Amino acid sequence: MFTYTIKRLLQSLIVVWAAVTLMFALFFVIPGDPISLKSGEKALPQEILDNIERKYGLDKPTYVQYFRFWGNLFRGDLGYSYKNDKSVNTILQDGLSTSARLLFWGALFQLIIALAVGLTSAIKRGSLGDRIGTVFSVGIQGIPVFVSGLLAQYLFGVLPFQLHWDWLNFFKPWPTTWHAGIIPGDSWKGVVLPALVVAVVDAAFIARMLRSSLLEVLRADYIRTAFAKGLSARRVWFHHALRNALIPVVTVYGTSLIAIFGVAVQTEKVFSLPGMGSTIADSALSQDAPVVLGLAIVVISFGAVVNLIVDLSYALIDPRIKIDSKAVH
Amino acid sequence: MSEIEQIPQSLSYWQDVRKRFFGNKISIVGLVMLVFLILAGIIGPFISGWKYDDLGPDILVGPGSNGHWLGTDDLGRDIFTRVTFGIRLSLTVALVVTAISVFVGVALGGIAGYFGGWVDTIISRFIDTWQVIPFVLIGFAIITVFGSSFWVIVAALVFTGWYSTTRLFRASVMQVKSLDYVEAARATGATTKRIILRHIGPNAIPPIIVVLAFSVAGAILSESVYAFLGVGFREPTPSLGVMISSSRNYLTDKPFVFFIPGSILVLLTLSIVLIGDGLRDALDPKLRGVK
Repeated sequence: MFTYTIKRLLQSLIVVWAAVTLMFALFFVIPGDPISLKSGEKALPQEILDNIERKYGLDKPTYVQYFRFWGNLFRGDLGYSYKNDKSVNTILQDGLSTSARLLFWGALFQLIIALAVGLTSAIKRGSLGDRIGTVFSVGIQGIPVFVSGLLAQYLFGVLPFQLHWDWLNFFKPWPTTWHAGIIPGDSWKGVVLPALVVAVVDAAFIARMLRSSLLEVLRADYIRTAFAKGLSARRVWFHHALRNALIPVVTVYGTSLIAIFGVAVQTEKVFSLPGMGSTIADSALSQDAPVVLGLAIVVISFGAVVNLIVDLSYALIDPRIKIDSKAVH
Repeated sequence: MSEIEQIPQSLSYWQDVRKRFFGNKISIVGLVMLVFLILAGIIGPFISGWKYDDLGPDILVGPGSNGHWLGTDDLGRDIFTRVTFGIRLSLTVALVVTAISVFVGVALGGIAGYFGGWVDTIISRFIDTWQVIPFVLIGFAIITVFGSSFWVIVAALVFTGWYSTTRLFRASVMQVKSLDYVEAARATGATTKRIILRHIGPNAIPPIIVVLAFSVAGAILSESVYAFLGVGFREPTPSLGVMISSSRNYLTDKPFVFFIPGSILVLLTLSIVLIGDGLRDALDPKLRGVK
């Protein structure tokens, strides 16, 4: 297990390095132009142009910029925005707290919905609830996040407002105070809609995956044995079936946690939340390369960490993998 | 007499696939929806009597007024024309993107899966790297640097889609490669070319067809997401994502401006997803004969 962990850790580091380099190459081989961002259409004297280039280090050859970029990165300095000279670190901190809260609640809702729907539809297979669940989870795959976000705003914001059903109005501002970092201090309703929108897309997919995986496991001999031994249904379901059925589901959950970023960007845009996603979208639009690159590093590292955890948790759920890796090394 | 009728007809694999696909009500619903939308996309812009960027005096009028079948948007443009044009645009982009992604996937995935070894390692590690970058980010980066013309958007979508087709085809080839009949063909002295074209290829194709369907749906979704976020097609191009994005301000008073392009986009992707689902079941040889 130890060698396996170290090996996977090194692999992740290489992947992060490669991905960040790829992004760097995209932005700085064909550099975004900080000068036109500052001056607009005005023509500036050559001296000022040179000064700006020097300030951002763009007068140096690309490879020097690249090494300098990594040097700064190791010191925790992500550089400065082309647009307003704010440090990328500050911009990042502002957005990160909002995004982290949104993702936390989104991922939590996702897990609860997926487990509940997946388990019930597998246990009560063929029931009305199961069939509704199946139709719903296929249907939701065709709905882009920004559409479901706007639809949620209409159904739980505009409509209740027009009908004066205030209890149903969940379209409230994002909370301003938080307890322990993640529990909304005021207007908890403001969290529900965005988090549900984040959760629901992949929750449906994971639930379906869990359902089919459970149904396959249930045909296994050891499940029949467990029942024959006289174990309670609850024990068989949770101890024998669920644990084995989770292996393929964990992979899907991992990929969905990486994809959740794309979901979060759209959700933040739709609900006008000042998160990392909106920042990155706005910065991309204004070609503010340092900000996009800085935020990209955070997102990529997050993805790599999730991948690593997924792989390591395989070894915990499925003992065979542990043994295999021992046999190889 | 009745005895003869009871003997089950023997069907080839593809006959069976066709039978099972058309026997599936849900995939038929998807197919009918898609055909209807495609026809609307082809014919719509010709019969509406407006151009998609015609600015008119009727601003935000409801469906059916002044000859605008589905009303007009905030600039007085005919929504029917724009929506049908949007279907055309979405499908064109998605088909081009899918064709390129599948081509890349079949080539790279096939090479990695068949030859294995260091070629496979390089391609697989590259996929690993690519996978940790969320698709929105790839699009942002490419469109930030190269602007947002048709081919840049296509390229961005291919860059977000190529690795899943590659990974899938690689896995599929690897699985088929180790089957007994491929070993047998090799043992009888078949050439590599013959093994790939005659033995592995045809058996690796069914999963590709399913991926094709989901890839088209995925490309339509991604294109609309880029457009919605402002990094894809821009006004006045009638992309469904652009239309939905500019409808946001009118959600309260004129919700139809959102609901028309929104539901068309959902129906379009949904119909393809339903077809893909039906194809997956129909093409799965393990489900042959299962009712």
